Amino acid sequence: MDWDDNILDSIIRDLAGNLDEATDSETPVPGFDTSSAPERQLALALKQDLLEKYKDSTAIEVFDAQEISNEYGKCLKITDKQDIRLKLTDFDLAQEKLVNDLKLVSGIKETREKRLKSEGYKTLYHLLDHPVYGQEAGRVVDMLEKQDIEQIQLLIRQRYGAWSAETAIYLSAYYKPEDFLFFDIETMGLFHRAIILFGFGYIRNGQIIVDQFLLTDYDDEPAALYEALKITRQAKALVSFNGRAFDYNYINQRLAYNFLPPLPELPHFDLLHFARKRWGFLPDTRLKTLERHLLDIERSDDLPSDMVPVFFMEYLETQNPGPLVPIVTHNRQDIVSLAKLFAELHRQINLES
Amino acid sequence: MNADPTITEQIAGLLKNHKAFRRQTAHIEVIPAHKAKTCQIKNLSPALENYLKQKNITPYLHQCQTTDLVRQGYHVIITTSTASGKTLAYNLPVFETLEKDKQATALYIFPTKALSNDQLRSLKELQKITGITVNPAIYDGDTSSNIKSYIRSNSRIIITNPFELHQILPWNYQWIRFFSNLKYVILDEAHHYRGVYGSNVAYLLRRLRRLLERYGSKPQFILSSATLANPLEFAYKLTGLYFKLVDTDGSPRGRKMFVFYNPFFDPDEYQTSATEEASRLMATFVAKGLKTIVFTQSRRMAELVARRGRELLQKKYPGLAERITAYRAGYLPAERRKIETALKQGDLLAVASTNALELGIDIGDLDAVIITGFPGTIMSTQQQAGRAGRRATDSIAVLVAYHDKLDQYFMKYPQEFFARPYEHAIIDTENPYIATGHILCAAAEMPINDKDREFFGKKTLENITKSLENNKLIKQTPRGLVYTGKTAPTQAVSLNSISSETYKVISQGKVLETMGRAHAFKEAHQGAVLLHQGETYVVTKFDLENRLIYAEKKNVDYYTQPLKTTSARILEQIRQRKAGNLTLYYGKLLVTEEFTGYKVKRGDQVIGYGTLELPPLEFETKGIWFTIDEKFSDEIWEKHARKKASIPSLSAANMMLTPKTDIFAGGLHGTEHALIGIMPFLVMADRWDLGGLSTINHPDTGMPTIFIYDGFPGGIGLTEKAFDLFENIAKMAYRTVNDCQCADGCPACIMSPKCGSDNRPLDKQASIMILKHISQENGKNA
Repeated sequence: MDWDDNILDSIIRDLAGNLDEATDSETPVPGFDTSSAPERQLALALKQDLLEKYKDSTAIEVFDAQEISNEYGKCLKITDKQDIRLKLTDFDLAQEKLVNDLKLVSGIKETREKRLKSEGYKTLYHLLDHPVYGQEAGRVVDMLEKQDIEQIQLLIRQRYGAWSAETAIYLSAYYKPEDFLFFDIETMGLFHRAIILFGFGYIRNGQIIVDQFLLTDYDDEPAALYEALKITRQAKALVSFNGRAFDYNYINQRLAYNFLPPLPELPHFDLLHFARKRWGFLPDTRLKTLERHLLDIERSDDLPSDMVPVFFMEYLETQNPGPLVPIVTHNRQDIVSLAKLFAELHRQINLES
Repeated sequence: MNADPTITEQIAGLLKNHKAFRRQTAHIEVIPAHKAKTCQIKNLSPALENYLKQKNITPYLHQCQTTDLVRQGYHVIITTSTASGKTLAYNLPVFETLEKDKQATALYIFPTKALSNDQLRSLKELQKITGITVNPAIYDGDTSSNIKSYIRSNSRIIITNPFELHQILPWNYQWIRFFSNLKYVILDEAHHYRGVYGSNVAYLLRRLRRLLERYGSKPQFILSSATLANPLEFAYKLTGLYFKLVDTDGSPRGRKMFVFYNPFFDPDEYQTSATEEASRLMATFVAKGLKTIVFTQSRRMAELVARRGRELLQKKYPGLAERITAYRAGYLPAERRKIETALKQGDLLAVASTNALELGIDIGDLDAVIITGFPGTIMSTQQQAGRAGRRATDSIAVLVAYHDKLDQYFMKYPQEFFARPYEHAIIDTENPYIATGHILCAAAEMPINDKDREFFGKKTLENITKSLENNKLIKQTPRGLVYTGKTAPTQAVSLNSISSETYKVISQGKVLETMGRAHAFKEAHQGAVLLHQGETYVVTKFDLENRLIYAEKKNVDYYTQPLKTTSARILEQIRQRKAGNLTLYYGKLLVTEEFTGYKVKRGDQVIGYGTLELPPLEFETKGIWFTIDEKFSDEIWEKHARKKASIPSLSAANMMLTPKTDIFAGGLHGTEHALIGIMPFLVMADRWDLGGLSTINHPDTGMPTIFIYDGFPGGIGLTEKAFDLFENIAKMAYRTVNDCQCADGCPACIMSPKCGSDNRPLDKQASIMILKHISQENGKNA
């Protein structure tokens, strides 16, 4: 290559211009909000205020964070907790709903289910004696008894063509509140760039504990990813908002990029899908809308996802932790709202029976 | 239906002797039939033996050789003719490996959808008959996202294309199973990957190889390609690997009559056109019952030829007239399928088509092919001709010439067409635009470190990563250089263009297409007639500041041609050598092109002019140049031009040149056109890919100078190759112009259809003298 730096620089400026204008995705990604022009202006004004307010402090002070190191480097850990009430669907009720769902058996759709029920095949157990469906029903019953949740989730996905069938949520009654890991990430875009903040929530003694791992530089990503991997390995099931399509895949992509092993394959309850089914009558099913209508939570100074990169870059350049504040707060609120929404879902199911 | 030998002979006789054809028929090359050369593949598994037996296949020599070389672990490129069984040649060793190793996988990369579909069918059949489970599947933009994950985890042979691969690589972690077991990468029809597109694909393959290395696999590459002058060099540049060549064709061939047909046999008074002649030939062939395809260079012409063909047959053979149709992109898929089936079953006898009826679309065996206008390369001419007589039967191919340099060259020297391959497929891994884009993509796929020098070259990688880092698009971390830019780089790096600022063409509020700066200035300026998917649009507003172009869909029967002034400065001389009487230079140039206006044309007629106010386009590229002693203008003046002294040309008057200088300038300009026009014969390129400039006094040389440069920012390797082949180019150019029977220059010799200065000044006699001078061997007279 015999081109000088000037021409390379001009090539790269054009390329950077094209990157500015390109879009990652033609369609909006749930859980990754794009800002409108006025929202953008508001956010930029907020950024100025924050820079002023936090100009003489450090991230460790502002978030009462702890610098942690592991074999992959270092990052910041921020911990916070608050009260939460999560009562899962009654186990017997969930069991009943599941064994009553004959549609889990291959070949049975709604009309056939009705007919079978009228013929006396009320549950999967009854169906065991059926000459045609008996064998397949046996396989499903076997899965339920073994509580092989991941397999049943896959089965539901196959049978219903979606993860969102009502039946799927009953599976979460097989767990204790302490088994779930609620998670959400903040990123520099839609895939292929760094994850700058990982948020994880878990329930202990009536409280939700939120652990966040924050990058102070791109160098910190492997260490934070490793913490994410460790914490996920201890969980029994995952709960997210569009995490199946976005957060889970994104983390795996970054793990691979940084030469780390993938996340464990766990049963995953993605509330976006249930929300669309159950609360589709609301103006939209963004987390922000759901929490306002169902949980009575109103956020102030919230940050649209696509402004996260702008704020984080400002931090990288200035080392002023101000722009990080809304990122960390936003992410923490997402985790808490996610857990509360999960609780609300179960509360409604319990109420209905 | 096969052409009876007597019928093809009859037709050859007709073309040679009948007064309606004989003057046009410049040459008939009879390519004799040859028998199959077969062989046995040793130690084939029972499953594969059984497949061959069941399909009644005795392998041809090149198929055995390929299996043999692949077994020995070589990368192989196969360049035997169209329909010689190249697919089986690579499928056999691939299935052999996939049968032995139940985890092994293979990636098939095809340039077109039709070929992918075709391949999927044969792979499914192979799987069925051999019982070797490979779950072949196509994975591309049309594959539904529901089944993509299934394919990634279950298929052992995945068929894709470069554009999809470009999108796949950032998701490499989802491909761990497939990539870590990858034993073969197949690149079919690899000659498609040349020029700008090919150079992009070369970097794409390097990105693939570095990721594969991470997953612990080093697959063997098998390439199939049309015949090239430089197959091994090409394969090396495309993949970065060393190859073995298989080029002995063992397949049987029927006899072929290859007719060179020149509607412009009399340059002064031709009254016919290529379209008319192609229609007449088609009608004649159909009347004889031959299944015929006519390849045309535009959709409009396909329609015209079909209509005219029907007209010609209507009176005498109304039944046959109905069995002619046109076929082009833009027809609905269902319509196209219907035509394909009707052709295959023989309900239709003839079709006039653009190259939309590409390889891989099965329309059964044909008896005759008519090619309207030289398609740009001997390679694609041969491929199109190869669509007739795929079995061992007689067939006819006709090349109907245009009034253009290479077309006319072949009409005069048909033997050159059939001699050893001349065409070099060019790939340039030194283009900084292409390299930068792909190195950025690579950084987003896996952190870049020193190991990547092996794939991208030490100097290239160091220079580019340094600049990318300075511009904050990548950052050094303990893991290596990681991507930190906005949006995914694959969204901003396109495989078939050189990245630059992009302009959006908008029609009815929707983005019609995006194009680079140079392209936009040249083809989408204010007032331009823009072609998009066969429809014409007129540009109503060119918003330079916001890089937006507004166009209105309008059916117009005229087109536009930009006018420009070009200047070039020599930035750096990289190489120089003696070439006959000349010293030839190769180096870096700063080219400035200023689009000053445009011509509005209907057919060959200019019906109007427009002016443009666009800022000059400046780009660094690579080119060759040489000087001519100014004293040479005296010689020209003495020998040939005195008679012209009394008639100063229009341009001379305009530019206030003396007649002597005007003639000399016309000679330099004509020489430049002739050289550029003939170059694609040796260096495969579109004429748009090359630019030129001739001047009677260049500031950097202080002498009359001719420049020829790569028409892409950063250069694309065309003139670098031309530097080595210059003597051949000069000789051919000289012959073309010297033997042309026109009086004052025509498109077949010194005129250029893309000339930005409207083919002025031009002087044929002076051009011939200069071309003679530069094609002479040192000290000798040609």
